[in-house]
Amino acid sequence: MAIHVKLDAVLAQRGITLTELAERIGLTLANASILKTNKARAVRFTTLDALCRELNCQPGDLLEWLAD
Amino acid sequence: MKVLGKRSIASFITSVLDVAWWGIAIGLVLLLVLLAGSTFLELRGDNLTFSVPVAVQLDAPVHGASGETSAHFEKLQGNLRFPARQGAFLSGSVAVVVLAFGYMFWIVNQLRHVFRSLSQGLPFVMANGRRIRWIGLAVIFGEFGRFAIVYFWSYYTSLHFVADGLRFAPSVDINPITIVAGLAILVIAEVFQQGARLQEDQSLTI
Repeated sequence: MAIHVKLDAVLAQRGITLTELAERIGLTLANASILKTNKARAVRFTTLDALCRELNCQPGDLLEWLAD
Repeated sequence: MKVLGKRSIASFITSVLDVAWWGIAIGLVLLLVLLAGSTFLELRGDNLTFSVPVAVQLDAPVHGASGETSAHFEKLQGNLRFPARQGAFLSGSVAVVVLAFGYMFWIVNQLRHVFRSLSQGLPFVMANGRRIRWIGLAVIFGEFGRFAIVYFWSYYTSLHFVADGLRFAPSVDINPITIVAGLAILVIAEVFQQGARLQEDQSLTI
């Protein structure tokens, strides 16, 4: 997939675990894991909003485009 | 009344299909035994009979009750029952019936899987689209297969049986509605495939 989610890197920088983040933003761990492992087909704006708020970052910090 | 899920129409149909599956499975086993026995057993008397579909043409004219109008039969269709005799026709016919049962067994099995997922409230799974497509193809090709068997049997009777005042004619019996139904099932299969893709997209949208 061309869009890469850099959630693991941002989580490492913030020192937060995936479980903790999932609890804070109201995601199931399974869905958070799908996001982290780049298996997601789409991300809702509401989810992106919650992620940016909790991680104190911009959408561009979480997403990057990679050429195939 | 619920259509999908537990205690629904779908779960009722699943139960009916389960019973049909077991019935066909038992019938298939018995037919396989008969097929194996048809080459070894010696048939005596008229205990085992065949009933095959035939089409006949009558030579006798039909008159109106007043005697004024004369009419005639063009073609009559029915079944011809005759004692089975050992040989290629018996073994071949039993083999054809075994194949037909195997074919039904496979279709009912596919339907069971589809309706089981419907009774679990999961209509849009990828496997359902694939199974329904196979069922559609089976309905279409099954109709052609049925046509071929009926034609062969009526052709066989036209060669081997004679009767006063009537002639056996090879029967061309193909049902276009069944073909159209098979094509409609193929379309429904594609709808299920699209639904499964949407369901997958939905489940992977975070």
